[in-house]
Order: sequence, then structure tokens, then C-alpha cells
Amino acid sequence: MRSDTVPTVSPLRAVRTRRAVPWRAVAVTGLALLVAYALVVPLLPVDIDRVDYATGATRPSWGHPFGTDLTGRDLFVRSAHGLRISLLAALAGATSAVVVGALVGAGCALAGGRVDRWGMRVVDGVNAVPHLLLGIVVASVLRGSFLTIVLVVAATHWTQTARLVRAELLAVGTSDYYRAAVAHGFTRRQLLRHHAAPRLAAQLVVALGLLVPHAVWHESTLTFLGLGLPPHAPSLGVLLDLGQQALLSGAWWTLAAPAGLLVAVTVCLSGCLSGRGEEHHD
Amino acid sequence: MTRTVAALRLTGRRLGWAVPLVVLVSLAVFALAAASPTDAASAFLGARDEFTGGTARGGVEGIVAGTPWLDAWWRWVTGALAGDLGTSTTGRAPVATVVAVRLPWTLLLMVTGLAVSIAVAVPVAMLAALRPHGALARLLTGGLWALSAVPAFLVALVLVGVLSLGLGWFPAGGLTDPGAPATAAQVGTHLALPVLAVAASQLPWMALHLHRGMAEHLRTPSTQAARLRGVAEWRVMLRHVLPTAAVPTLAIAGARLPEVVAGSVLVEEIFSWPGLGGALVDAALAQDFTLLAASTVLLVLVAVVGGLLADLCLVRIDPRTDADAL
Repeated sequence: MRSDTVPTVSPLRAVRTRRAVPWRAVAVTGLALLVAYALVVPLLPVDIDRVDYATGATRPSWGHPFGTDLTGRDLFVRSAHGLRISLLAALAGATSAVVVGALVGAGCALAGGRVDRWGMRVVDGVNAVPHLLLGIVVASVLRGSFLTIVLVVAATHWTQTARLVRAELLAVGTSDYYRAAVAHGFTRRQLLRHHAAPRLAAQLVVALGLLVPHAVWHESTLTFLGLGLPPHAPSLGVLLDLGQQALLSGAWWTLAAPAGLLVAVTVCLSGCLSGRGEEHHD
Repeated sequence: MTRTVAALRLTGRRLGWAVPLVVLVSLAVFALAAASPTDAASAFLGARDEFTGGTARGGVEGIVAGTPWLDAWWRWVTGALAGDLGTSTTGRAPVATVVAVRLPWTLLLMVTGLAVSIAVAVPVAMLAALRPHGALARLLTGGLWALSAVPAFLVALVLVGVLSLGLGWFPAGGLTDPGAPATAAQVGTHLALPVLAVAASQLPWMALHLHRGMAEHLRTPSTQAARLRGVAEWRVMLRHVLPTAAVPTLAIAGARLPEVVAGSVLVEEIFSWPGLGGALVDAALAQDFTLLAASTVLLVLVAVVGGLLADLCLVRIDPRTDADAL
């Protein structure tokens, strides 16, 4: 008997395979719920900045599902505002990163030669610098605005898209259908529009989707360090920062609400895109 | 012999490549400092600026600002080459002193954190690989995926909340108890939580990649042959499977090191660990650009050297690696 035909699972065990959990559907539903929460709850007529020490630091209850923070602000509503701000910042940042990356990548691939070589060297250089370091440096100068977060995310994450677009364009350029189209005498514009653009568009959407959770993470990290959004814009990072202070006085739920949302958004977003595109990391 | 030469060539190439990188990073810091809407002198003086009628300003500008950024950068570079990195306004000391005091603590934290995550990742990956469809394997891989979705600073905060505030096992921050000398016991107890936080942030990818490598390798004819020869199971794992599974993991480790550096910045900030990352955040908050430039450049260098070390290990343990292609 050949060794590689030995089954690693006993036949008995193989029979009672469990029904596969539809993780993709779970993730899509979760994401839809989270987005609905971030969009609908902030519409409630509640003043999220109203301080009421009488209800300060109350545990989660029916009146306050996520509890209240040390100054008595309801965390269910505040977290919804936070999620909305963080998602918006992340979406704007990720979109700019993808646009810049696509332009640079396409430029490199189309120009070729020296431009391509130097462009890719810049990409390597930016990749060698830890993103958070670069983010801290940029944010130290342009502190405390929405634009900072967008700039930081764009400045540090365009490289992945640039590589992707360049590789994709070069792959298109060597494919048979493209060569056939060239032989037919199509113009460069037509070639790009009909052969390169559709293939790129799908890739870019996936790249954007993979970048958004990462951008949410960057927003909360920078804000948590005091370099991102200002305290009066209650993003997830601001709430986490306040939660850290409240944690020291025992109010763990002030940290749990934004932290849980941050993790849930990350998991659902990557769950929606699992299996598409390569593994994405810092 | 030729492999040693190739490894040396790799070292030279990487370090040579670090020079333009450092130049660009430091240039960027100085250019951004010049573009900053608030100037460093006012940031340092704060309210004092209004009371002293400009006399204090004159004194401070000599130290922190006042020249075009390219000139300031050039002065910084020539000074740095001569061993003078300027004066830090947050550290109230020469930057070289601040860095020299803090860099060893950062390296201690990173190296211990990585060592702990390797020490946990190897047995976890082995346990999961031995019975790939068992309940334990599913539990471990599921737990690791969940952990990988949690940002490093959240892990750190949870550790503070549970192990320090809840159970009181470890101190919540600092290098020693207030006023206590930095003895091994003191530093050790204070190092525990930061190390756990760094290790937890690196554990998922390390263990998952190792697990995948081991699971693949357990099925290969060479492993099956070793088992048939009667080699003990633990020996098969340690001598036959682990080295081969470690190769792709090491290859990824080099690319992952910038993340370890970034993660340690956050961990240091949360635990008030007196390392370079904490200094970097303080410098950024106070617009102390001399310290910001020095600590950014140093942390970038740590990432580059760490990546180089990972690749050198790869060349050492895997004879198939071509050092000239890395």
C-alpha cells in the first residue's frame, strides 16, 4: 500500500461531518446590522455631549444597553456616533489610498523602464517603514482633524494597490486576448478601456474592502495615542481612550462597547471578503 | 563558503539600501516639521510665550527652530555623524542621551516578546497539527483567528484590566515600583504584561503559518518514512517537521518585523514602558522634532536590521534559499 493513500481521518469520523456554517452570510448580516446601527442610532434626538453625573458609570442595563461613561453619557448612542465617524474616516482614507495606488501603479506599468524601476523602489522604501511610525510622524504635524486620518491612511497604504495594479496591468499586457486585440489594431485607449479596466475594477473593489478594516484600526490607534481625531468628535478611538481611563476606576464596560464594535467591524468586513484577494496585513 | 559570501553580500546590500531610506525618512520628518502650522518654539514655550514678551522665544529658537528645513536637516545629519543629535525639548536632555537610555528597554521588550510568542507558537502549532481535525485543533486555530482580529492595543488593555486590575497579579505599568531600583526582579514583574501584549499580537500569524507548514509536512513521504523507521513521534516533530515548517514562517517574519516595531510603540505607550516608542509618541505630541527624527530613524533601522536577521537565519537553515535573490 502506498503511504500517501493512507487516510488521515478514520472513515467513521468522516461520515459525521457537521454541516458547514455559512460564515460569509453571517459576516454580511453582521456588517449590515453594524452599518444600520451606525446610521440609524445617531438620528435619535439624544444629546451625546450632555453630562449627567447622577447617572455616571452605570452598568449596562435596559435603559442603557452599553452602560454610561464616567460623566453619565449613554454609550449605546455615543458608540453609534463613534462607529459612524470611524467608518467614514476609514472609507475616505481607504478610497484615497486605492486611488493614489492605482494611479501610481498604472503610471509605472504604462511608462515602464526607468520610471517603473524607480517607482517600485519608492514602493519598497515606503513598505520598509512601519506604517504606524509614518502615521505618527504625519499626525504630529497635522493633528486633530478628519483630513489627518485620511492623509495618514492614504500615505501609508497606497503601495499595496500600486503593486497590485502594476502586476495586473503587466499580466493583461502579456495575455493572448490582449495581443490579439493589439494585432487587430485597436488604439491604446480602447485596449485600456475594454481589456484592462474591467479586470482592474474588480481587483480595486476587493483591495478597497480589505483596506477599510485596516483603516478603522489606524484611526482608532492614532486617536487613542492622542494624535488623531479631537475629543469632541467621539470616534471609536476617542471612546477607547476614555475607556482606558475609566477602566482604571473599574468601569470595564466603557472600554468593552467601543472595543467590541471595533473587533466586530474588522471581523465582519474581512469575513465578507474572505477568500477573495490575498491575505492582507500591515 | 560561497553561501557565506552570498550572506555577506546580502548584509551589505540591505545596509546599503538602509542609507537612502534613512535619508528619505529624516528628510520627510524635517520637511513636515517645516510645514507644521504651529512652530516648535511656541509649542515648547506654550503659555510662557505670552508672558516673557519674546525674550524667552529668542533663546529657544536657537535650539529648536529658526532655519530653513533643508539647512536644519543638513545640520542634523552632520551633527549626527559627529555624535551630536541635538537637544530634546520633551526629554530636557541631549537626544543621544534620551535614545541611549531608552533603546535597550525597547530591544528588551521586543526580543522577549518575540521569544515568548515563538515559545508558545511552536507547541500550539504542533498540538494542532498532530490531530488536524480534533476538537483541540479547531479550538486553537479558531482562537488564533479571533485573536488576530483584535488590535494589539486592545489586547494590552484587556491584559491590564484582567491580570492587573482584576486579579492584581502584575503591576499595570512602569519599569519598577515608584522609587524602587531597577533590579531584575522589579523589571521582570513589570515586563510581564508588556511582553504578553507584544507576544499575543504576534502569536496568531506565527502559530497559524507554522501550523499550516506542519500539517502539510506531516503528510509527506519523508515524514511517513521516518515514522515507519520507528523514529519517536516527538523526534519526528522536532527534527523532521519543525525545521521545514519554520522556513516559510521565517520568510514571513522578515516582512512582519515592521509590525512588531509598530506594535511595541503602542504597548510601550499603554504600559508607560520607558522605551523608544513611548518617547516617539511623546515627541510627536509635543512637536519635539529633533527627538522625533532620531527615534523614527532608529526604529526604522531596528525594523531593517531585524528583517535582515530573519533573512540570514533563512539562508542558514534552508540550503535552497538563494541569498542573492532575497
